[in-house]
Amino acid sequence: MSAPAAAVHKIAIVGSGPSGLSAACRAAETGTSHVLLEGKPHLSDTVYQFQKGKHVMAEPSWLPLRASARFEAGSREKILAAWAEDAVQKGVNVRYRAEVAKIVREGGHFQLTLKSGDVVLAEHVVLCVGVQGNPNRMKIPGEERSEVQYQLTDPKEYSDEVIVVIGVGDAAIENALALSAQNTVHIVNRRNEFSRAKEGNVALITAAIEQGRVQYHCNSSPERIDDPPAGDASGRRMMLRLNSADGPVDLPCDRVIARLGAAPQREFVEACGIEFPNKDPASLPQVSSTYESNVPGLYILGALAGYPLIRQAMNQGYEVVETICGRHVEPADVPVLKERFAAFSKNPDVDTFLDIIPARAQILGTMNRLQLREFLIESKVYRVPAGRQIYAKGSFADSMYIVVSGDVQLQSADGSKDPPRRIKTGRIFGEVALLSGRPRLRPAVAGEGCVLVEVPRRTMLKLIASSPTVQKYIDRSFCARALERYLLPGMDDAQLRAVVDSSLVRSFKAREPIYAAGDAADRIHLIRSGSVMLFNKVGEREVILQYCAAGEYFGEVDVIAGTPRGAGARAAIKTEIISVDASAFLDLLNREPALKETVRARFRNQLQQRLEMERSPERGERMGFLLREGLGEATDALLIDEALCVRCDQCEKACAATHGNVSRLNREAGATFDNLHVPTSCRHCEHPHCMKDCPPNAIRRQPSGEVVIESTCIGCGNCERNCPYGVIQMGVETPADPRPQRSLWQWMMFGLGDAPGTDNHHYPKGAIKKAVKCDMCGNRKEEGPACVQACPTGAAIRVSPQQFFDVLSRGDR
Amino acid sequence: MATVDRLRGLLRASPGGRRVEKLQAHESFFTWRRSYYLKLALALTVAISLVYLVHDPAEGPSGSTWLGYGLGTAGAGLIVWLSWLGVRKRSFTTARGPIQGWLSAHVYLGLLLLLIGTLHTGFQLGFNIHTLAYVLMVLVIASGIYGAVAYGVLPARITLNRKGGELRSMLVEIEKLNDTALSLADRIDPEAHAVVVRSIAKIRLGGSAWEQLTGRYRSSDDARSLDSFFAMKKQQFGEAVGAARARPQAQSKPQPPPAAGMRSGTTMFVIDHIFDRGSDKAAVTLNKLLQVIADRKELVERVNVDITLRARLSVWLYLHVPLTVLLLVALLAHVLSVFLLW
Ligand SMILES: Cc1cc2nc3c(=O)[nH]c(=O)nc-3n(C[C@H](O)[C@H](O)[C@H](O)COP(=O)(O)OP(=O)(O)OC[C@H]3O[C@@H](n4cnc5c(N)ncnc54)[C@H](O)[C@@H]3O)c2cc1C
Ligand code: HEM
Ligand code: SF4
Ligand code: SF4
Repeated sequence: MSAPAAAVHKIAIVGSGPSGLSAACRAAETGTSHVLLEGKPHLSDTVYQFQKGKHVMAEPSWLPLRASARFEAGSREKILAAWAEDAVQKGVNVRYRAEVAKIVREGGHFQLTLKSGDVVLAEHVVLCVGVQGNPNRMKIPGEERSEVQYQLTDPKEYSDEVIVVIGVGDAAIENALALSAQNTVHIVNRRNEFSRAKEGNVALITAAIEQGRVQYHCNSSPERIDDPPAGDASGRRMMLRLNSADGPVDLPCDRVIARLGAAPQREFVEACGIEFPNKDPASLPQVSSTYESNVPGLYILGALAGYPLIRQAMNQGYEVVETICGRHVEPADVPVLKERFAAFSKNPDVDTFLDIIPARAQILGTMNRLQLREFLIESKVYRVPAGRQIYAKGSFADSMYIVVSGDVQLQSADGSKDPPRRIKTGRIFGEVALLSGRPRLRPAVAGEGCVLVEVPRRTMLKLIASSPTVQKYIDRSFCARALERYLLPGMDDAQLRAVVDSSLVRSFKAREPIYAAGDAADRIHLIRSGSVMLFNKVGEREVILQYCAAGEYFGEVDVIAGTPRGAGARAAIKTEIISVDASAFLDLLNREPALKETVRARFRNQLQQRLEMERSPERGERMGFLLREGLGEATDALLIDEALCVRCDQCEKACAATHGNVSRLNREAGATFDNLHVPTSCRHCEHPHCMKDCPPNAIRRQPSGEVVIESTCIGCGNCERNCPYGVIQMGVETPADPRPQRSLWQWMMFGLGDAPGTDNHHYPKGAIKKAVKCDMCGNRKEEGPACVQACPTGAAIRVSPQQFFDVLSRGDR
Repeated sequence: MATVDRLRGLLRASPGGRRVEKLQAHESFFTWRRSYYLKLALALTVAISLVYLVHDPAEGPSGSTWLGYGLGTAGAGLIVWLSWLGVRKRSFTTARGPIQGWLSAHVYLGLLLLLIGTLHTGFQLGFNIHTLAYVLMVLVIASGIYGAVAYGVLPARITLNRKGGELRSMLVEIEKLNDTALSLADRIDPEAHAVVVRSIAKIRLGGSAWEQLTGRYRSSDDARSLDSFFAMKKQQFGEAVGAARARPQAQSKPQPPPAAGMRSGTTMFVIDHIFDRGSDKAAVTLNKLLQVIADRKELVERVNVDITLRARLSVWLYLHVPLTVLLLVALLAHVLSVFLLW
């Protein structure tokens, strides 16, 4: 099938995932000269690597599919089979094992150099390589053998083999342990310590080595793989030579599995001349509205362009071929956009509005057409009658707003003296709560002729990450609002501007120090997101003096006292801080007597609190424990007072009984300190880690604070991996228990059926698994969470840790 | 209970009278809603006692005076309501109001029932169905009192005994120590291996119901035999090592005759071991094994304490509930006999 190197294809498509395959099918269908280059010996490696039998979902459901290959929700096998069939039937010109190593533009066309050294020429290149990256190779002679592999889909496939696992990362350790059940396993470590793996994995592998279940080779690296020497008695398929500290070691084996991590695609993509907006490893290259990158003629589709779902990727494959062939194509999303603009007119002209909207608001002007379309599709556009409340004080944020017509009033919160503030057309509001993860501070009410774009959290974060201009715009706006709200109430814009100019946004990793005791005190810090603890060192131990949540400020005590820092400050979790120059602040204090009074009151309060905490370090220890358990970022956590808990598991039963017989709470698992137990249950984080990488954006925050997973979940398992507290499980979504339901009385009198609240796992075969976790019993608002309700002794409590820390640090009895 | 009180105190209020709403809910069922049901029960106790003292029927107090009827009706109603807790605590989906409140009421009104029931009898007890109902009621209440005390005292002791860990992880740890002990014993000799295998087979977590409740577990004589075995092993090692040290060139010379008390198979093994790995390694392995066995013993003991505490925490329900069922039956018989046979 391989084309002669001299022929110049019209289109070369790199990667045969959903986007690449769809493009190739369209090209084949229209008789366009093309070649599809795939690194692997099969199509669509990402989908190919899904677990056997996985149900692949076809989100987003609102988007119509327009492609020359078929795709509908179904099992992995069915989808792969359909694609393979379509590729053959349309006559796609595919080259397997054709990993592209280099792409350069030369003399009016592109030159694609394959790993094998072959060169392919094309007028246009469509890059569809996804974001999974390529596994790092051993780069030794003999690695091309079929028994050398870089992935392991099903450890149960192998038995009675001698298998060598190279590497000691998490993947390598997990593979070695899983394989050791049925095989003789060796694990090879280039160094002597296990530094790159999770603690739990290190403990498991160390035990396995100690017990002789896994053979360990440290300070060793693979050198070459050969056939076994003639007359070798081991009967193994090959011989691996290790280069160890004590000289070469020959290891007869059947299989080598190298888990050396994956090289992200970025390096390869950058080498093609494509630019990334910033250094953030999560950032993706920018493309034009026709998916063209900054290199003319080079297009990027699919996950690499920021479209993480199969349906989107396939539509793009179709569109890009139409564009390259010069046929006008109306994007598949036009009907959706029409609906978005319905707030302005009955039958809106999409293109006109796409021109008007960015002119209305500065922040929208930074996007290109494609980004803007995507942005508006993910957002909501609607008109709000004058006087209607947009959100209430105290509600949690899952979105922020852009005013595109009319205006909005941020009213003063009850009891506070800050004047109401008018948000004019073109401005944004609601970003403080979104970025800090804390509840809204003041209610927002619509003015005359108000039309809003409501931007969901993920869309906003994507926009911020892709554009430094937007980032700056939001930073300044946030800074001004936050300063005005917390530090300098009632300041006018001009005065504020001076302070904002002197301010600095910095971010800290969890546990990273912000300043140490004894440092010069020249700044005041306002916490934009995350939380901070102030501590004193007593010998080696850190005694926590104070906990400050997002929205609070710290460090002013020393500034006012004019002394160096009296205590150290450290980020409790990932934290962003706005620091303000102390002199600007002191100036203001002198000019504003009212401000001075509030600050004085706080000053007194804080010093008192610190003295208290120093006097009773056990409170600090309890606080330290809770912070270590991640409560510093929780908005609502389940705690169990073990001095009251009679271990009856009523809480778990109640959870199972109200959630389709799957308990989302594991009472016993989790840490305990001083009778305070933190069970494994969702904490509804301020900045939920689980939301980070959810392809259909199915994880949402309710106004009342709970983080919930919606039914659009595709079951990819990303959230399960991303939640640091292990509270998400993949379970069956509906209570699809095929057995007859029995009533409580039938059970009590005759022992029929399961006891109420029994966790049962009689799933029908092929049931679709989705992510499930605590939803705070959102559908039983009145009675509150079932676990707390059902606890007979009052051991189970739901707390907002902020209050908890307040109480701990104030030391009330 | 000190911790409970401390926590409760910590969580209750904040200065300036501003109450922390969500945390305020953290009260044990003993003091729920500032001991509302305790106060209610006390008030009713005083009121009923006063009425009983004042009231002076002609034939003396009994179930058939107007007060007797009143107390009887209240008592029967109360018993049915108290039993309803079993249904209520399992109605997870339709539940309204925390179970904690129900339990608080259950405990204090259940205690009040003792007074109501007793006064209802007018102290006329005999050998009949009526007294049977009374006795059953007293037994249910007595078991309930045990239960309430256990709920108050035992949970904190369970936590203390677990040292911040979970039961499951303690069990996993025992497994792990077993595996490690086996592989260490493997490196010593087949005899050590056999002894360790036997000791693993003999580990007893829990035991008979009686052992669980009393917390006195029959020790398999394993501990002693393990100890003496290891003492012997240590001695053998000592002797073999001594011999090796005394004769640095022993390798090429014939082996020394086995010391007294040493079985020859083991001797050879130990000596080979010293030859292969040096005497230090052998001793280290043995010491490691001893440490592992000691750790395991401590863990097994703690798991057994845990089992005991949890057994004591739940055993009474096996009386409380069946006796409740009997009580309901006896109560029905009592009521029927009073109305039909009177
Ligand atoms: C576990 C999991 C479950 C998911 N479930 C769903 C789901 O249910 N529904 C859904 O819509 N989405 C799902 N997704 C997301 C979906 O799989 C991806 O968004 C989609 O595959 C992206 O398609 P793509 O064309 O951009 O790239 P990919 O599918 O990643 O394909 C890239 C292809 O390029 C090849 N390649 C890479 N580098 C080179 C090179 N240098 N030379 C030649 N070839 C190369 C690769 O071998 C691969 O075949 C899931 C993702 C994961 C990880
Ligand atoms: C005649 C009087 C009583 C009756 C009929 C009665 C009945 C019951 C019943 C049916 C249950 C439910 C058990 C279950 O289903 O698991 C129960 C639980 C309980 N009872 Fe009683 N009871 C009585 C008196 C008392 C008293 C006087 C006390 C305490 C002083 C008490 C303390 C308890 C406790 C602590 C529970 C356990 C609750 C739980 O763990 O869910 N009971 N009782
Ligand atoms: S699932 Fe995990 S990451 Fe997400 S909100 Fe809950 S605790 Fe936080
Ligand atoms: S319901 Fe309450 S007492 Fe029962 S196990 Fe859960 S926390 Fe403990």
